[in-house]
Amino acid sequence: MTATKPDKELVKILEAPSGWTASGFQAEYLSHNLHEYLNGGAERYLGYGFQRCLVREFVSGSCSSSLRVELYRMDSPANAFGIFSSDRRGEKPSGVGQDAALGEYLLQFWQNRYFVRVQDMELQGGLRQSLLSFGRLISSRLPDPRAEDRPGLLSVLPAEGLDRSSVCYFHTQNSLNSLIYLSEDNVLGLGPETEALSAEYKTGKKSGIVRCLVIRYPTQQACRDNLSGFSAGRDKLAGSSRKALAHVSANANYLLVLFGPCGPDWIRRFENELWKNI
Amino acid sequence: MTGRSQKESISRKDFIRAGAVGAMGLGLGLNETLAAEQLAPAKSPARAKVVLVRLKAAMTAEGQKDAGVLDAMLGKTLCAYTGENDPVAALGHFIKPGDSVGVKMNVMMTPTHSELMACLARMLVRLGVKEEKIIIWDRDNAGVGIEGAFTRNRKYGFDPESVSRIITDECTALINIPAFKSHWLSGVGGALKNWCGAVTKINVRDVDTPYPIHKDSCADMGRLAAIEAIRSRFRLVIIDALRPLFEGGPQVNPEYLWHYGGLLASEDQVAADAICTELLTKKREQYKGEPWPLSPPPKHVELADTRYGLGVSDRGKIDLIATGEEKDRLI
Repeated sequence: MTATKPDKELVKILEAPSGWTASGFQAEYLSHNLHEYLNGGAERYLGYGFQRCLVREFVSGSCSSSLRVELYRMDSPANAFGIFSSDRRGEKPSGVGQDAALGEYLLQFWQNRYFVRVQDMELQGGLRQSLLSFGRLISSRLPDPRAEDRPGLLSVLPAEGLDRSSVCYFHTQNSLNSLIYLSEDNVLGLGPETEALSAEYKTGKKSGIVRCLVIRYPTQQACRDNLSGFSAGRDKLAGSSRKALAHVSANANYLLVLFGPCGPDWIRRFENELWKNI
Repeated sequence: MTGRSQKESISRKDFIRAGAVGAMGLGLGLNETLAAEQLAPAKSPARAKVVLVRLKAAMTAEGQKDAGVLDAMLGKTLCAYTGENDPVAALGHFIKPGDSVGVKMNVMMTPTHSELMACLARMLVRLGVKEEKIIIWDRDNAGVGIEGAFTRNRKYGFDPESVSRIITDECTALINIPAFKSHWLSGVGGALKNWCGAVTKINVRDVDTPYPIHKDSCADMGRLAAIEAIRSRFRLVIIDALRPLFEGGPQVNPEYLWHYGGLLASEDQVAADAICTELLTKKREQYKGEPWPLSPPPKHVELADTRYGLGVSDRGKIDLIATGEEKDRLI
């Protein structure tokens, strides 16, 4: 690996809580060499305005356990939220970041423009408290959270029936593909200039979940062009997506696409609520 | 080579007999190698065979490996595939003592388990392959012999076509030994994707690269296994399914690691990936309690068949010989 020389400020953020000491492994990566650490996974971060990543490992006093901490600095708080939102399975502990997800072996959280992962490297379990201790210490050293850190686009989503844990904020076609695969082409014109949300809704019916995509384009013209292109190319969508496609519409520079079992009344109510929020 | 017409069912008695790790020699002539032209099919074969052996005791849920159990498991896998009773004889269907063998592992995030590679290297030595003729590598980090399973600090570089010189200059035979996972960009990371670490100058944005493989969820991944230097030397894929990743990837959320305890083997990399795809799909459905399709879909598996003739992607044309523990085998 050709890791970059670590940024001293980031190293200070990643110091160990009581009972743990830094082991030998420490590396920092920039956008040009993040793939050396994450291989194909690097693109996921690059799609969220990745800037730097510091990785440090720590061992417990008895050296029987080890933890790896990854501190990612993104270009904006919205993108730190975005990368967190793409995998947030777990409990939601308090006092760690602006949102956190805690599992048996992994703590993830975001705060300001930082995304943090703390992982039990031995996968022996029993380290939840240590994961939290690291998380709380790191959180205390990061810039304070601000209400405006969350992407403004989140506020357009209607609240009724929303599964909040399903909300994912993203920009790129690769991110969309990992949520729902539409086509080999970039049929929604996604890219760094677009902001997008995927969210799941329960419509009240017993079966089925509706997936909602909301995309904000830089201009109304871009939105109109993509609506036209998407509508014209419906028959080229992947089979499962084509079957599930329920609705497409646009308002100003916002595009709405719905997939899944939803009737006209639900769509009308949902759409009205969404357009009211923009 | 194992003939395609070979009897593909194995009796229980044969299988149990095959479980004993056995003889040291095979009576194969030294310096005997398989001609490349014998190994480079112009189009996918009509059918393919994949063996799956499961033994969860090979590794604990926490990831501790038992080398003895792994060795026996690897032997059983090769015997089940070839119908031999002796693992070394089984390995001799693919590799000759005179071969120089490149073992292409994967080091990233969910790496091939070192102990498994050491078992394979030991078996190659028992077959008669000189230890210095065994190179275990990923990207440009290589190790030689059994120690290469654990330490890889040699550099061989890449040829003008960006292919590892281990392949072009050093090896007469290649064994592909990835650990399989779901993958954020390609749907599945298995045999075909593992060749990414055998070339250089690839990048996710496909800029200035001889191998633009990433577009449309890596649909053209088969291009790498189709590189003639790889295709002509490839003999066998052994897939480390001891603890696969079934969501996300390559970055690991341990929540999605799964103690499956499996090894798969085939001469057909496409068929092996097709089986892995089926296995991942079933695991995801089991986990969620409802269909949870891989996204993106691993289009590269089918295209490796239809575009490059690298093997069989149609599940209906793949004979799966599954043995070992049946509970939660899923396929």
